[in-house]
Amino acid sequence: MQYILLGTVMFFIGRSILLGDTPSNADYFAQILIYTIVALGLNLLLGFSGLVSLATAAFMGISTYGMHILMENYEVNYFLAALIVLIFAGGLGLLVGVLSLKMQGIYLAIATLFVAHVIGELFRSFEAFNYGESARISEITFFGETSLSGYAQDDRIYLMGIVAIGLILAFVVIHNIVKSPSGRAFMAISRSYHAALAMGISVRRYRLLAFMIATIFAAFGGILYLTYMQSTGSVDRNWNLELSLILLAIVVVGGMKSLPGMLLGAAIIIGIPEFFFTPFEEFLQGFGPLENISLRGFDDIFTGLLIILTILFYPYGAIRIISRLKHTVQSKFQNKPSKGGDAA
Amino acid sequence: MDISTIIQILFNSLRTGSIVALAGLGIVLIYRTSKATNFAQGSIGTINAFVAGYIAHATGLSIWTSTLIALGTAFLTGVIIDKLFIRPAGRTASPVNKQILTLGIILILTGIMNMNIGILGDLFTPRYPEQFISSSERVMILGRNIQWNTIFIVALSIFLLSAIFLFIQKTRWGLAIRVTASNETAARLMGVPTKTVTMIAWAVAAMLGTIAGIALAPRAPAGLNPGLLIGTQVSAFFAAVFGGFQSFFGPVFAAYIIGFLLSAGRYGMSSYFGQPSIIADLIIYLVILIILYFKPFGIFGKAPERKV
Repeated sequence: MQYILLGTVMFFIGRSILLGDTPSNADYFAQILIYTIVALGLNLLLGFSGLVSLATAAFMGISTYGMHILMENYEVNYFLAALIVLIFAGGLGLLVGVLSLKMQGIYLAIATLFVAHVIGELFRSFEAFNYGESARISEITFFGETSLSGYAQDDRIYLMGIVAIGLILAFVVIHNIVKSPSGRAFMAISRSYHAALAMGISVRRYRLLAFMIATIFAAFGGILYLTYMQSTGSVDRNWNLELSLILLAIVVVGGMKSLPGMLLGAAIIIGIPEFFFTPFEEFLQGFGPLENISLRGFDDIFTGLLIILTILFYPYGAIRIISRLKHTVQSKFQNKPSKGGDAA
Repeated sequence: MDISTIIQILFNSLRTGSIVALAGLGIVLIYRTSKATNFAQGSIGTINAFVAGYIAHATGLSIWTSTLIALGTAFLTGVIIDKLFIRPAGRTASPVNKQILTLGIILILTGIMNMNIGILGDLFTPRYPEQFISSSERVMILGRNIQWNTIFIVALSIFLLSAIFLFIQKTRWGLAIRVTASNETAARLMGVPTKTVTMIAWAVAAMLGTIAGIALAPRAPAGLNPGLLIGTQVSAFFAAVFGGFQSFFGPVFAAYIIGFLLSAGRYGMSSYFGQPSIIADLIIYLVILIILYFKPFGIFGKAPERKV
């Protein structure tokens, strides 16, 4: 229920950005929501099962290019194409997981690094993927009548609505997984690998499940990216190792094992560089000697430092700050009457 | 297929294998001494290769001198990363957390390579550095012109790798590395300066990565660029897993095998099947993954003991 509220609030924020002075910022806002969805899946893998995947961005790329090929070349219906892409992503996740999870957990990162590298090269080698460059789709047709083009403002508000619905859906699905018996198994694995094994939990099976879910969520995020941006994105600028690391950063900085933390993490990692660094750069350029200054590269350094500082000093992530704050405020209010004596 | 083609493939694979072996040995050194799978190995090598390329370009010094200077900066990079990021994590951080730390380091290094402030913008401009030996210097081997540079890279790598093996096997410091690798706590209790050992491991790994980067850059498709060593790093990790993280020799041997398979596979794929060479890479890596499915700790590795 709270997730529906959250999604609705996000939709209205997005809508007001679209109707406001700088509608171009809505792209970044949509990115925050989409990366939140992907991070929710990745959180199950990293936070609950202690596995690192470096192919998240590549899986998003597969789903955008897959949707593009299915919809433009084979004229498949939007929903059917989405379903095919999700099933394909799940199958691919299963394959990579089966081949790499026999080994220690750290090997999954190596296997996914390889998967991401090969997928990127495949995109660059074949014409069907436009040699890795971004390709636009003409428009999206729902139920054969409503078509959304992504240029008109009204359509963009609809598209933002679809992204927000996707966000609600992702939150609800992950919430149910985490609260189910499988979720308790994940929690047990995350606390102690050996204890979970001794309790009779098939660690390998659950790790495989977590990796598949993370892959499917990445593909879902890719579908929403294609839906909102109406473009596949390019291998070099979008679906590279850097984005996989940024998604990892969202999970780490937001707070592993926390669901709302993902939204907070995405807002910090994507939002702060986009909404604060750029104006700051323009502000600096206003001074005479600094007019050619460029803050390029600072966003990556910011993200990298945040990852390292979070791991070193604040392993529970930014969401813990909020719950701590809540706790302090509550205890203050509860203590005050007893201390002062005069509560009325 | 005539003899000269075979010679060509052989030298290509030796060259690829040498570069992968250099990067791979660095990864294994770090894994063994600080229990971290260092994903930043490629980025560390690339950023210092940029330094060499810039010095040669800006001051007109030969690539040899610039390489020596870059090795100095690589040493510093390794020490700084160990001191600032890896040591504070200490032994308490889990392997996954250390993995994430190295991923954070990649982001920081990528950010620095994208920076455009003052000298940095010029420093990190993509360019093609010179080869160690000019490409016009060639030698005829069984009907094939082979660049002296290729032979030099292979010889240099084999020399460096043997020197490191001898160092690890024969010297007191090598013994310190080996005991730190086998059990850090016991080594520290016995008076081995494990912190210094770990620091040296990071510095040496950074230097090995830098040599790999400088050797690769002149003939890489995009020259010196932030993604220069990504492919090499993938191969190096595969070599490390395939040869077994538990041995120093296995990964180097596996690197040459992978180098040979890649060169032969790419040649065969493009000349006999007319497909992009990436298909060959895909098939070779998949076969390695399937081999690893049955031998999870590599061809030379043994299963590590686990304690609860």
